[in-house]
Amino acid sequence: MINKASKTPSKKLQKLQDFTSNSKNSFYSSHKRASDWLEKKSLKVADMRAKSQNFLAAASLTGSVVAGSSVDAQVLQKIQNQDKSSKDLAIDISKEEYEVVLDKAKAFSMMNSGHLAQEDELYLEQQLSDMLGFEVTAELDGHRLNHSVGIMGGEQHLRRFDGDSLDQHDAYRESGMAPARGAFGWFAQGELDEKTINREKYYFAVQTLYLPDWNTNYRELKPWYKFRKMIAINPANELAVVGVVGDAGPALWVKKQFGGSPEVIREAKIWSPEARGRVILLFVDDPEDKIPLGVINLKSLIQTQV
Amino acid sequence: MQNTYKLPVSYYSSLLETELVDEILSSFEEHEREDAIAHLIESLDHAILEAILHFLEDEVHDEFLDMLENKYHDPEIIDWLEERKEGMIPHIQEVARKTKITIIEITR
Repeated sequence: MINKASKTPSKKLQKLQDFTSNSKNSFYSSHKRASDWLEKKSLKVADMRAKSQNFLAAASLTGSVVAGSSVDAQVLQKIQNQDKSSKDLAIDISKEEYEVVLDKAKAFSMMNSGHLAQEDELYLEQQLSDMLGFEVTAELDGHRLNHSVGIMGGEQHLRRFDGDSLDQHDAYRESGMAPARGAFGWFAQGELDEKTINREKYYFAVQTLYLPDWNTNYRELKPWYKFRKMIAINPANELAVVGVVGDAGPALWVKKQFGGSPEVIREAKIWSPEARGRVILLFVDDPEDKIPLGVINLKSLIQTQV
Repeated sequence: MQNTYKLPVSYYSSLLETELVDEILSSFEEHEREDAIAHLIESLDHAILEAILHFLEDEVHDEFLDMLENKYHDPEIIDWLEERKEGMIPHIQEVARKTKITIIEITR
C-alpha cells in the first residue's frame, strides 16, 4: 500500500507517481469492457492483487493451529500404520548413532532459515540417507531451493481435479480447501487413484517463485519441480514425512519458507509445541518412484543390534 | 553491492527480470523505497493487464478477469494465456521490460 502519510515525495518519486497514474488511466480508457467488469464488481486491479496476497498469507498461517486430540488419535493410527513400511526401508543403525544424528538434526532445524554449512549439510545428508535407506539431498540434478532449513506453515487441501470438493477428501476437512488449484496444476488428469490421492495428502509448498533463475528458466524448472518427491524432517518429534511438491509458496512476507498439506502438518506433528514448524526439507532421489509417501517414525529405524 | 528486491507474487512474476526491478528500487532513498515498490507494482499491473487484453480475443476477457479475481498469484494463468494466444509470453515480457525501462528513464 502506498504510504500517503509520508513527507513531501522527492521529484523522482513524484515522476513515478505520475507514471503510475498515467498507466492506470491508459488501462481504464483503453479497455472499457474490462473497466465495466471491474466496476460491476466494485473492484480495482489492486484489489485483485490484495485478495490474492491475503489468501496466500492466510493459507500459510493456518499451520499455527496445533492438532486437537481427536486429530491426534487419527495421527497416531496413521503413524502406527507407517511403522512397518519405515522398518522395511531402514538399514541397521544403533541407538547411539541415531541419538547423535537426531541431536544434530534438532540443532540444525533450530538455526536461521537457509542452508546448512556445507560440511553439516553433507553430514546430515549422509546420515539421514543411511538411516532412512534411501538418498536424501539438499541439491538434486543441480536444483536447490532457497532454503533447506526453515519453518513450514500449514496449507489447505488442494483441489485434485476440476470439480473436486472438500467433502471428497477423507481427513482434516477443518483445514479447508484452497480456492485455486495448486501452482503445478491438477493432481489427477482423469480418475483419482491411490497415487494422486496420496500426492495431495502429502504435498509440500515450496518457494519456487523466488528461485533466482525462476523468471528466466520457468519453462524448465516448473516440470522438474512438479510433484518432485521431498522429505520433511521434524527432528523435535522424531518424525519425517515424504511428500511431493504440489504448490508454490508461501509468500515471502509470511516469514515461513515451506508449506505443508493438512496431512503433512498433522501427521508429522510439524506444529507440535516442540517443533513449532521447524523442519529440514530435502529432496528424495527416487528415480524409480519406489519410496512411498507418508509419515516415517524415525524411532522405528533403530534396529536391535547384537 | 546491489540488493535484490522481491516483488509480491503475481501471475506474471516468472516473466519479470529482477535486474531491472533492482535498478529502479536501488535508485530510491531507503525511506521512499516502500512507496516506489508500490508504484512500480501498480504500473506493471496495469501496463501488463492492458497489453494482455489488447492481445487476447475479446470473448475470453471475462474468463481471464475471473481468473485474476480468484488467483492473481497463480502462474498457471500465464500458461492459460499462452494456450489461447501464442506469443503471449514474449509479449508480456516485452511490455514489462519496456515499462521498467521507461521508469528507469523518467526517474533517472
